[in-house]
Amino acid sequence: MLAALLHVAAASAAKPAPSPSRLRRDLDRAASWTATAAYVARRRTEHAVPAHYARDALRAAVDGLSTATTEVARDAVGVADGRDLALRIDGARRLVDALVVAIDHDDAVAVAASVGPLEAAANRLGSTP
Amino acid sequence: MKKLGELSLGIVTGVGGYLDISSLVTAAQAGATFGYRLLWAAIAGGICAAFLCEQAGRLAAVGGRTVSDAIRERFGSTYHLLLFAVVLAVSLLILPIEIGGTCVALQFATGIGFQWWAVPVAFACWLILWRGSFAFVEYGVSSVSLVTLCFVAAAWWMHPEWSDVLRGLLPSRPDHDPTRYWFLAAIIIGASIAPYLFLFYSSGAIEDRWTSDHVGVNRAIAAIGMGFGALISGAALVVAADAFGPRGIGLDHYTQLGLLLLDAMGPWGFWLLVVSLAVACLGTAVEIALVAAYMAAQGFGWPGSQDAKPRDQSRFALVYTGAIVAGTIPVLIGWDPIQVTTVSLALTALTLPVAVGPLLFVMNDPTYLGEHVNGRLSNVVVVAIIALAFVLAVVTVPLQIFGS
Repeated sequence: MLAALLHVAAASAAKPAPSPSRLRRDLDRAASWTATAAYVARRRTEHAVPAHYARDALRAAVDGLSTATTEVARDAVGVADGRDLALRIDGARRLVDALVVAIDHDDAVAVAASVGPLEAAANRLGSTP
Repeated sequence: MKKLGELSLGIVTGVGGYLDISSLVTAAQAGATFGYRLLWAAIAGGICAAFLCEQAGRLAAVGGRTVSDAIRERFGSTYHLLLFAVVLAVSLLILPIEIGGTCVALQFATGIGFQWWAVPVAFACWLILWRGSFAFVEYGVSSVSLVTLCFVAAAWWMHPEWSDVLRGLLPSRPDHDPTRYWFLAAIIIGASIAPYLFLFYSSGAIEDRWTSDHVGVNRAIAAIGMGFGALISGAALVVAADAFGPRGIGLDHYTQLGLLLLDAMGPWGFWLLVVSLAVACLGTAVEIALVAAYMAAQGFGWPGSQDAKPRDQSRFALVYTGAIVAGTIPVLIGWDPIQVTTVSLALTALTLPVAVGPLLFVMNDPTYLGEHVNGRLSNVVVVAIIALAFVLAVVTVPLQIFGS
């Protein structure tokens, strides 16, 4: 959260004008990564994908969401709720991070429990106007 | 019966040559972002590829020359050198993507990072060329590539809205993100008519010792082979549209490819995708390395046949060995195949006029083709492809810059 706030502050100082189309693309990308993580988790609970693949895909999602947090913080300067958007994406990143740990420990209950919140987060990000 | 065998050979060659990681990635990106709306581009690319391959095959069967040979004779060594340089540059960009695609499949299967697979995959690619005859490359690699038909089965099992699928066969304007839409359309078509495909096809026809008796069979081989390729590419687009589109999943990273067939086929889908990706990419890597060697041999007058022993044609073997080594380095240093794919396809589109333009002149020269010179329809289509090639060459790089 602190990192996201710092990103927002740094970007606010650096960039004067917001770009709505770029912000839309950042949000879509964040929603895509969150949806990917939810889908991987769901398929892992069904044993449709091996654990090592799920781990790789989720780590890529963590990286993608970190980048999205930075980009949203940069591109949402001057946009109402811009900071909340960055924090929401950072929240999704932390959920995926926890999911990687759950898969590392072969904790099927934690993996199954993360599917719903991730799907909800992806829907919220995707439908953000 | 023998010619019937060659017909099936054309089908598997089309499948093997067409569905590489570039086509798969662009089709999946198009489906995930625009649903079925870009199906027309896959079909248009298939039609263009069929016409180009038919002409390349006819030239080999009747004129006894590859496209590369004829261009060198008709336009001189300097132009051929330019063509060779351009094809080699593009090949060295695409080769790492295909070697990387095979490595990514092995990473999916084992969990070992794709960079670690670069050397074994490159060695396998080289060994196929070093030890295998042309028939082995053609039948062996391409027959295994038939596994990519799983995309057609998956598209069927996804129960898509067939009326929407049919609507997607007609070009339409996008309802969002027009720059990205046209960029994807350009690279889907550009990937389908990549010069290495018809250069390989004509060299293959020479290796198979086609004669003018093959003119009719060649037409069927080109049409059915490339038609199969376009069908599979279109099927991948439909699967991505149904599996990724509703969830809002884009395709930003190679790991997301592993999810493509899960909705349709469950756990089998994951492993079928792994095998399809590995086989199709390895087959394409072999083809591209071979095209570089063929072009060098045909341009510089060296002996160059995949059926001869490497010790009898060391320079031919050296070119494909060098191409494979050069293609392995970017994978070793960790290029993400998906990130490089769109850039390399945009650059491939830039090279199309250089390769396709001279074909029109060669195909109308009775010195090479006698009574089998192009008819009006073939000429109209090649002129349209050349015009398209120019448009693609002009628009893809700006669209890449503004659409990404």
